[in-house]
Order: sequence, then structure tokens, then C-alpha cells
Amino acid sequence: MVATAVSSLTDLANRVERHLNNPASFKAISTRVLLRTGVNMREPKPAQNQDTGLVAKVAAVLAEMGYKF
Amino acid sequence: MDQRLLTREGLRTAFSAQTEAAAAGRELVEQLGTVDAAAVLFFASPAIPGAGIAAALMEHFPSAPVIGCTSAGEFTERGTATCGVSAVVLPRGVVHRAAAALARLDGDVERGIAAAVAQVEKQLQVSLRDADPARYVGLVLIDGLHGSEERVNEVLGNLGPLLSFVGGSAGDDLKFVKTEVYCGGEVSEHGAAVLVLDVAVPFTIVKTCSFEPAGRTFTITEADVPNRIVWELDGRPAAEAYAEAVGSSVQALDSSVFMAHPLGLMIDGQPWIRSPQQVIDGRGMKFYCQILPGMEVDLMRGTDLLGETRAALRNAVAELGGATSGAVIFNCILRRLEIDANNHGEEFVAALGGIPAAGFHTYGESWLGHINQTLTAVLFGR
Repeated sequence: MVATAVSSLTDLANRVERHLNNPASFKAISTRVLLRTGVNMREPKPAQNQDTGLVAKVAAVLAEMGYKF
Repeated sequence: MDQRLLTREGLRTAFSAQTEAAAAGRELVEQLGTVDAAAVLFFASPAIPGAGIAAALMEHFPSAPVIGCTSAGEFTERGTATCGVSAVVLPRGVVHRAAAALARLDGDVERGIAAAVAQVEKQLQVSLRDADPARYVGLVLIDGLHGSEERVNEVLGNLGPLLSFVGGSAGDDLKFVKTEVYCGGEVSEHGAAVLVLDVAVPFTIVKTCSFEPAGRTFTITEADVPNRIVWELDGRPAAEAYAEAVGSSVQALDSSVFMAHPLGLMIDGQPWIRSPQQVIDGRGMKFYCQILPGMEVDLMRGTDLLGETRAALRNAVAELGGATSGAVIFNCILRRLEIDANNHGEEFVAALGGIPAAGFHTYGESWLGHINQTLTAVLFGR
């Protein structure tokens, strides 16, 4: 199966949520991401959602935590 | 004291006002008594040599890890003070196993935390990445003067992303000269004591502050992140924009204004507080915690510190089914100053509701990240 590129913060959040499969864990990880980036991947602002720079920044923090998509 | 929150058995707490370490250690040990301890924590005035306290506790509880730090005030469920030492024993009925290690941060924070975590993982024979977050919880005491708290929390989050590490930054009674953390027989002025608990009962995390949004949102447009300085809010000099929002002038900004109106990063409707410290070069603002460019933060206004503390702890007890074994609590020094200014020391202790608890007034609080003007705690069930 070929992994598809992450298209948006919403897409990234959905992947994290599916991977964790636990609402409390997803909340903890998204809070850590928000504190480290300022980006709320659960409720991104429309202007942020497809900002490739922000998507890459959040993906990098997730990767540091061991979640690579 | 609220009798409904008392429990038959639970955490053992102690306080000593002795200023000589051996005498304080003896008094703590006498109060703590004989108990099968899984872990011991203490919080001491910088006027009392903490290594001596640690030695006394280690001698009395030889099979339990002992960690501690210097403080900016200490408290238990029976009182709050400065120039003393508080201690708490987590008995084996509450905590199955515990492991601690000292992270030395003066070389490289990541390397220091990783080495400490590796030691803890070896002792517990569990990877923090795979540890069940409903069973394991971490406590972390970080020195309060080197500004390493954000990175410590980030690295802990990288190594155990699902685990909660709750804690506080060591204080030194507002002298801002030297803080220390202790782990077993080790002492560090630039380190972090990391303690991981394999908990035998349900537990919950408390994070509470007494602020609400005041109706003014800023976007950080320029910041010196490592030095915790914000240079611009909404494209304007930070001090100017902030002063205008609080109805003041840049020249009149002082600690009383900053304490009353910190900034808050809103997450799920709750503020994660960033407290201003001082104006820099007449235009920037230094904070007690990092704020990143692009972040949206709200100007805060105060609510009811005692009421919100009481409510947060009551809600946490309810979440645990109505009974608690006790708590380890980290309360910001800025909250203590507000408590002191209102002569509310006894009321603060009363707000703990008689829950067996020990803690200290901190130079910053930790949970998922570094925060200010907040109370964080781990509350254990039965």
C-alpha cells in the first residue's frame, strides 16, 4: 500500500486519531502539539488548514513524538 | 476540614519548621511514621540543606526512591508556610512500584532527560512509550532558574507521549539565585528529578487557574522564543499593545498588572497561562514561559482563586468515585503571592478540602508542557 501525502491539518489529525484510536490519547497528543506549535490540529482555522508550512511543522512535532505519517 | 473528603488510609504527609536539616529530617520521619513506602517526595526551603533531608528520608525509607527540591513555600493539608519543609509518602497500597532518576541538564537537555528516562525504564522494566497511561504517571521537579522547562517537557513527551508528567519548577523563596533538585543522594542546580509511578489505584490530573478571557485576543507576531521574550503583538510593540489592552501605560506596567492580567493560550475553552515578567527595552515583554510566533493568546482577567481551587479538587475527587488517597500538588508562586496579599493562607489550605496532600509553591508548573500561574496535581483514588 502506498502512503498518500498529508494534505491538510485535518487530514493529519484524522490520521493521528485513527492511529491512537483513543479519545483521551488523541486529546493529550493534540494538546502537546498545540503547546509546541500554536496550531490546534483538531480545530484548525480555515486559513491554516492547508498551509503546507504549518502542516509540515505539526508533522515534524508528531514525528519527534514517534508518530510518522 | 471537609470530613467527606477524608479517607481511612492514604498518603502520609508531614511538615517541619526546623531549619537544621538533621532536626527537620527527624521531625518529618517521626510524623510520617512506619509505612511501606513506594516513593517519597519532599519540598524544602532553600535555607535548609536539602541533601540532609533526603538522607534522613532515605535512611528511614530505604526501599523507596526519594526525590525533592527547593521551594518558594511549602504546604500540606494542615498548613502553608515558608522556611520549612513538607514531605509526602506514597504507600504501596497506592503505588505498586516507583523508579526515579536525576537528569543533569547542564550539558544537553535532551541527552540528560533521555539518560534519566532510560534509568527509570530499566528499573521498572517498562518502556515509557508503551506504558499504559491509565496505570503509570510521572512526577517531575525541574530547577527553576535555567529556563529548561519547555524542553524538559518536550523531551518527556517525545519519550512517553501518552504519559502524564506532572510537576513544578524548584524555587528559592523569591531570591532567584539558586534552586536545587534532589534524587536519592544526588543534588543538581541545573537538573530534573524524574519519578515514574506504577499506580495501584485510579488517579487523575488536576490543572486549575483562576482566570478567564477578558475579551481581547492577540497574535504573537515577533518573539525571541528561547529567551521567552515577545517583541510584537499584532504587529505592534508588545508592551504598547498590552498596556493599551489593560488600560495602562507602558511606564505603569508592573508586577501587580502582570499578575492580574497574564495571557492565556486557550485549549478546549481552558487557558494555559503565560505570565508576563517585565518590560524589555521599553517595547518587548519577557514571560515566565515561552510563547511562539503565530500563537493566538487571550488577555486574561482574574476570577476566584480559592473557589476554583476548591471546585477543581472536588471535581477530581468526584471523578475518582468520591474517595481519594491523597495528592501531590504544585502551586505557582504567583498564586501564593496573591494568596498572601489577601491574607488567604488558611483559606487556601481549607480549599484543599482535607485531602492528604503535600506540595510546594513553584517557579512554574508542568503538565504536557510548561505553564504559569496554575496549580497542577496528581490526585490518587482508593
